[in-house]
Amino acid sequence: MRTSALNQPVVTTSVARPGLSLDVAVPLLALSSLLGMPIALIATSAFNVGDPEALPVTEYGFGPTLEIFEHLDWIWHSIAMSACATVLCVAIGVTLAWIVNRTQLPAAGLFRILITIPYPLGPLVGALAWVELAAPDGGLINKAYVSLTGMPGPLIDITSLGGIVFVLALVEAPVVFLMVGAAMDRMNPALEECASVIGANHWRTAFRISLPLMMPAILSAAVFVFSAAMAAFAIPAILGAKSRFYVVTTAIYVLFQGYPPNLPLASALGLLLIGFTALSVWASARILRGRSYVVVTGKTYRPQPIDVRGWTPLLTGIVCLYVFLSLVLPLGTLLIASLQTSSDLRFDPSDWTLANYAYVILDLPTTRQAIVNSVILGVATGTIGVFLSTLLAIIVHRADNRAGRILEQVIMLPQALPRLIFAFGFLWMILLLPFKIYGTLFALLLGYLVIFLPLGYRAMSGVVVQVDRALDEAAHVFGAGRARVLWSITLPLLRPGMVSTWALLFMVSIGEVSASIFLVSGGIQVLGPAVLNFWESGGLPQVSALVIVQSGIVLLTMLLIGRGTAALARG
Amino acid sequence: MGRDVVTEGLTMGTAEELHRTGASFIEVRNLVAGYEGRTVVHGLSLAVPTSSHLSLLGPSGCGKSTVLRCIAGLETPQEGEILVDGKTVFSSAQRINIPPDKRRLSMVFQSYAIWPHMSVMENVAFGLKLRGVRGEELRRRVRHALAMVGMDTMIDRPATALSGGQQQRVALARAYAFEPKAILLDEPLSNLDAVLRVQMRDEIKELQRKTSVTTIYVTHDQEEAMAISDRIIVMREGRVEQEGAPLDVYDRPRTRFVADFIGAANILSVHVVAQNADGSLFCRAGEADLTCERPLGGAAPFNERLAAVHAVYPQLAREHRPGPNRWPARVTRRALLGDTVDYTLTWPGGALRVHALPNELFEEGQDVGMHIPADRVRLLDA
Repeated sequence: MRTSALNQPVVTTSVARPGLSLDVAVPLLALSSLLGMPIALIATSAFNVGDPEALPVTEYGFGPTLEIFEHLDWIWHSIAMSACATVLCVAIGVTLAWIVNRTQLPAAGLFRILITIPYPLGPLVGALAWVELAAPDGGLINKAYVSLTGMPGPLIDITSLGGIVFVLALVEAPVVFLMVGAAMDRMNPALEECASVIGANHWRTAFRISLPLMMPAILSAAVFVFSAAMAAFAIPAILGAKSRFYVVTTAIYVLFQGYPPNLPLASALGLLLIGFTALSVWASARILRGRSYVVVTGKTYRPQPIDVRGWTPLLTGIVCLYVFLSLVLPLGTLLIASLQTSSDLRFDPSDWTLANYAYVILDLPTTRQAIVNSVILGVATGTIGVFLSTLLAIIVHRADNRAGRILEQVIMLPQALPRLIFAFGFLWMILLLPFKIYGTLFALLLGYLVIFLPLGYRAMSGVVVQVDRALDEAAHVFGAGRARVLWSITLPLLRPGMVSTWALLFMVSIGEVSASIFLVSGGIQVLGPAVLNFWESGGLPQVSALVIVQSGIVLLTMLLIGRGTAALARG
Repeated sequence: MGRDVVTEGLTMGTAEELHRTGASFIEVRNLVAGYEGRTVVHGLSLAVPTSSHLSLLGPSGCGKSTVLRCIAGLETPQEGEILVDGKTVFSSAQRINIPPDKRRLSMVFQSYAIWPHMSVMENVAFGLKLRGVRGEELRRRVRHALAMVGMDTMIDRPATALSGGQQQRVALARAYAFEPKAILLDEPLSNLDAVLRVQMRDEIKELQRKTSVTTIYVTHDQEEAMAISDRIIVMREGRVEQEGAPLDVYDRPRTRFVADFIGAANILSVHVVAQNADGSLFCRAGEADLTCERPLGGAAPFNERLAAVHAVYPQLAREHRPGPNRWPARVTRRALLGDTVDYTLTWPGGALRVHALPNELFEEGQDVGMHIPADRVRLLDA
């Protein structure tokens, strides 16, 4: 049967290699419209001076954009918060990356995992725990300080700019750790060895050789963190709520939720935020042009870890401190808070109860629905997302031309687009669609797929690039058709990468907040917005229980699949 | 320029073969190929007689791998025709482009392309399975293919547990296992160390002799090409620079590029002065009178020309004896290479590199006599 199939002359139509083939054009068109429509809607609305609900807009003007100037404090807050958080976050991330990747740290493998956990956990854990710990009125640390010293004021105000920056930096540091760590792994160790042989000591080598070589990676990470901080919603929303500290994102949400909603001003602010992230991405691309990857070789060198001798306790202490502040302390605080019978924390286990868990998991319909929906969404986003990411990575890699590179840029675009703004425009778009997906899980799924596509794509692209193209070509020449090649060669080779990417997408879906708060409108609930709403209406023990449930799902996934961080490192 | 196939290159062996089989198994006509607006192959044509071995030889970037990949169907050419076993597999004019899996070829890749998720057995069995071979027969033929390259004891190993040389052998076994009629090899030895390379080179030649499979072999190593091929095509910037039997290309390089590439150590600047009575040419090279054979075809060119002399052909003697193509010379440098001794000499023509056997050694500074046979001086066209 096979032999006869081989005998058939098969004539295919396309002879010349076209720049834009169908497999590139279709996803390009689909993605461009999915991304372009929401942005176009926001852009038109930002200049709408007529009926704020009218679509298409009937009267254009600069009213909303001028109105921004009345609220320069929001913009100032956003910039100050993001800039400070970026500096702090890069300092933490680079330090951790150097200690874990380049020095002889005991249990480096374990720390490598522990440091990355805050990222998939999402922003809610850190934000809520630090409110309980260091709110100016009634935060545990402040209460202890007042009762111990008798001083009147709070010791730490986590709701201030400094506090928000601190929590943001803790949550985003894993990204810097992973991006810079990956570059350190790729660096040719001979460059450092040469410096040592010439006579530089470890510290001199670290500061004069390693750090400058890492600058492109550090800069990329800084831009990533800055964009993420500009787009951050949950942390400034929770920490800044009582002190009325608004940033652009939280202001947009308030304008949207207000009665009547001020959609034109919200849109104008959204456009401004998009402009800021675009500017930072453009600036970094300019600085990095011709610089990145000059020093890193593709070969998998295994650099010798530096023997830091007497410094080991200090360096280990720094890593432990980060893990404590970003993971152990927040989760511990929330865990204890979730076992309380009232909002006052008691540390006596005999007063503890599991009633809050029963309440949020079983009794309360909204939270029960949110948990179920989030898991369904996570599984769907993971499964479909992996499928799409793999397909797109293969298409871009195989196309290997201009059209393919343009498609790649479009796939990566959502990364530079603040999720909250995208969701805002996306919500608008689905309201306009002729078929009704508004208020369904499908609306959330579609939104998640778009915003997490860059993450999945980067993770899968890293795997696809590593697979030698000749492996497919060999099978093809030996007589296997396209489908057979995909099934027997390509997919089995990609399977480990697909599993870890699935886990990554599942975890980030469970922890998603800032896009979901717009997409859940319409009666359907998922975990992130549920926690926020619940927190606004009080009931600290119950909120804590819900966040612990959310964290539990993420941690369980990491434990069971154990590869989520592998995909995170590639992404 | 694209089609100057040299007729003198047809030696008796391949001409006979052509006659015997009557046809080319693989034929490429006016192939133009490249990527993203950059053309790397400019109207190249070649023909491989059934059961013969053709090598595409050239420096990296000359388009030799692109030609091979076009034949395999892994690249789509811009123009031209490709025929395999008399069937058109690609034709820009007829808009035919048969996918690789329907061309019934086999290939060995530079990176070996051993599938890491399969065992040695599964790797070699892949092509056989696609051709409907099953069960005991499958295992027997896999074992047979592996035995040909001395890897039958490793049949159940996972592919990831193989060394580079072992991977190469498995790649060969996999390519020969299903008894293809033609096989394409893309720099298969370039990732191996020197000793292994010679060993594998002989093994490939042996395999080809046993299976009489039509072979196209891409390499940048002239030694490899000489050792293994029936015919060689030297490529330069996407065009055929010279084609011929190995000895033919070696002894009669047509251009300076070919002479350099196949390792002719001496390129002399000569002035062709006159034609001797016997048809040979009388030239001047520096201060030396030099007689060389007239190139086949074409009139005697009386002008400034380049001539190639392989380092192995000049003969050295203790004493200088006057005569045609005999000169006094002096050894200026000597390096012992092992099999040969590498001398640098000054002679009336300038400087010359000579490789001689180490049985008679000359000292640095020693005056010697040198003779270059007239038929070993090859006038170059360009």
